[in-house]
Amino acid sequence: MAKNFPVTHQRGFSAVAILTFIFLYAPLAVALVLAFNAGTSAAKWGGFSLRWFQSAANNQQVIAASVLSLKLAAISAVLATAAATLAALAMTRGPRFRGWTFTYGVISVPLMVPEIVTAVALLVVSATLRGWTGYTGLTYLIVAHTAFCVPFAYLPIRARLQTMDISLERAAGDLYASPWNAFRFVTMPLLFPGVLAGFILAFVTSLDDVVITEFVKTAGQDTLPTYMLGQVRRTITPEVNAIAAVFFVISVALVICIYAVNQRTKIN
Amino acid sequence: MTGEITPGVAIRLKKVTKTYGSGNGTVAAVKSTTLDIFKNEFFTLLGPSGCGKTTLLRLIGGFEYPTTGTILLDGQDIASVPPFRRPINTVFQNYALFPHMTVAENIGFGLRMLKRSRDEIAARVDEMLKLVRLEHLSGRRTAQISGGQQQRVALARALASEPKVLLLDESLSALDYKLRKEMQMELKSLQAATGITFIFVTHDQEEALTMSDRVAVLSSGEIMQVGTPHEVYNRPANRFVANFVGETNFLQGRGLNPDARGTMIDLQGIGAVAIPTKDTVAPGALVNIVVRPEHLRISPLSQEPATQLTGSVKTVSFCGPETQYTVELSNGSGLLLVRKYNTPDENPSIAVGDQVSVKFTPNTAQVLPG
Repeated sequence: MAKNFPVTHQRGFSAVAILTFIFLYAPLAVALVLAFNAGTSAAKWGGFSLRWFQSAANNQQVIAASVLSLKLAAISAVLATAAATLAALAMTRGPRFRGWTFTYGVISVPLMVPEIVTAVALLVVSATLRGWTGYTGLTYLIVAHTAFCVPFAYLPIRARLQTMDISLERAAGDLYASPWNAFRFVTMPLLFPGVLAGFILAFVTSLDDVVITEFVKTAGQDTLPTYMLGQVRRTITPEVNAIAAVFFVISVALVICIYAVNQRTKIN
Repeated sequence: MTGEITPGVAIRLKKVTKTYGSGNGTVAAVKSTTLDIFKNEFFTLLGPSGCGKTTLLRLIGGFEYPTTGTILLDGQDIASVPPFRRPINTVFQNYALFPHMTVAENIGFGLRMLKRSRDEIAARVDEMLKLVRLEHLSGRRTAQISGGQQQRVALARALASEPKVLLLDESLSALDYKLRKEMQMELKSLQAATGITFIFVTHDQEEALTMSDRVAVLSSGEIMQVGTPHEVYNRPANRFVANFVGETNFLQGRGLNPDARGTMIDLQGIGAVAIPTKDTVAPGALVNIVVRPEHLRISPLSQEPATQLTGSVKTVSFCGPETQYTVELSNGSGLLLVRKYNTPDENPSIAVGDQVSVKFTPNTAQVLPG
C-alpha cells in the first residue's frame, strides 16, 4: 500500500502555513492593540490608554446600536434554532417523505448563495411589505436574520443527530417511554450540545451581519456593525477598534463555549 | 383482542410474515412463521445473518409490525401495540445505555416511565444492582465502565420492570471469549432466578446449544427446526440444520435391501456399506448419511476392506481436548472430518499421509433424504 501523501513534508509547506497565519491574525492583532491607543488615529500609536473604550461606552449611538444588535441576535437565534431543531429532527428521525432529497439540499443552500443576493431579495420583500402595511418596526430585521441564520443553526444540530445512536431512542421506547417522553428524557438531553452550538453559531452570525442588515434596516435601526461601517466612512478613530475588541472577545468567548460543551458531552 | 389463553405459552406467533419493499422488489424477511414460546423458557433463535432472526425479535419487541399474521402475548394480540405499551424489554446488541445518565438512573428509567414512586424505584434499582453485582458502580456514568459491566447494566435495566418476556439481540457478541463464557452462565442463572421468558438471538451455534432450553434454527426467513439443543444437534431435521449446528459429514448414497448387518447403503464409489442407524431406508432411495466428526473412529488400515471407509490422512490438527483429522476418501468422493478425544499420555500415532480406515460408532449416523 502506498503511504498517505506527506503534505507536511513538502518544501515550502511551513512557510506557506506561517504566512497564512500572519495574514489572518496580524491585522487582527494590530486592530486590537490600537484599541488601546491614546492618540486619535486608528493607524498611529500614541501611547496606552483606555479612553476609547470609555468613549464608546459613553456614546449613546454605540449603546443604542449594541442593544439593538444583541436584541436582534438573541431573538433571531432563538427562532432560527427552534426552526433548525425541528428541521433536523424531521430530516434525520422522521420517515422519508416526497421531496426529502430536495429539502435536504435546499436547507443548506443559503450558505452558498452570495449574501448580497439574499440581501437584495430581502430588501425587495421588506420594502414591498412596508409599502403595503406602513409598518416600519424591527420585525423585518428579525425575520431576515432568522431566515439566514437557520442553516447555521441547522448544521451542528443535524451533525449531532447523525452521530447520536438511534437505538438509544428505541431503548427508551422499549422501556415504556412514550414518543414524547423519549424525546424529552433521551433525545433532547443528548441533542442539547448540538442545539447550543447551533444557537451560538446563529447568534454570532446575526451579531456579525452587515450586508443584509444594511439593506433591510430602516432609518435609525443601526446595529453595531452597520454603525461601525457608518463611522468608518467618516473619520476612523480608535473608538471603532475598541468596539471591535469587545466584539472579538465576545465572539471568542462564545466559540470557546461551544468547544467546552462539545468536549464535556462527547457521545463516545 | 382475541382471548386465546393457552396455559404455559408466553408468545405465540401465528403465520407471521414480514416483507419489506413493494412490487417486484418485495423481500420477505420472515415467511409465514408459526411458533410457540413457553413461559419461563430460555428460547434461542439461531441462524446465519439474514435468516430473519433479528426481524422476528423486532416483531416481538414491537419495533416492526408484521405484514400479516398475529403475535399473541399471554393470549392477547399485540401485533400492532407500540413497544412502550408492551411488557417486553430488550437487551440491545450495542446495549444502548443512556450516556447522560448514571448506572442507577439507567436501571431505573423504565420504572420512572411507568410512574412508580421514588422509593419503589430506589429499592428496585438496589435490588437489580445486587442481582448483577454492580452495587459499587451505581453512581458511575456508563462510559466509565467496562464492556462486561455495560452488558450487566443493560440486563438489569431490561429486567428492572419485571417484563413478561426479555429479548436479547446478539447480546454477547461484543464480548471477548472468556467474558462471553462467563456471561452465558450468568444469563442462564438469571433466567432461572427471575423466571422470565428469555428470547435470545444469536448466530453462534455453540452459544445456542449451551444456554437454551429450546432452539429454533432459521434460514431465509423460515424455521427449519424447533427443538431442544439435544434434538437439534443429534436429530437435525434437514441438511441445513445438520450443517449449521455443529460440524458434520455428509455422504451420498442409495438405499439397498437391509441384511443381517443392518441398514445397507450403496455409497458412491465404495459399494455396500453397513450404516449403523435407527432410520429406515427404502431400497433405491437417494439419501444423505449425516455423521458428526466425533462419531467416527479412525484407525490404521486393517485387513477387512469390505463395509468400511478407507482413505489417506490429509491434515492432523491438535486442538487441545481433541485432535481433528481430515481424511480423503479413497473413492474420491470428498473429505471426511474426524474428531478424536485426546488423552494426556497419548502420542499421535496417525500422521499425514497414513492410510486409515474410518468406522461409524453404532447408532450415530442419521439418514436424510437426498
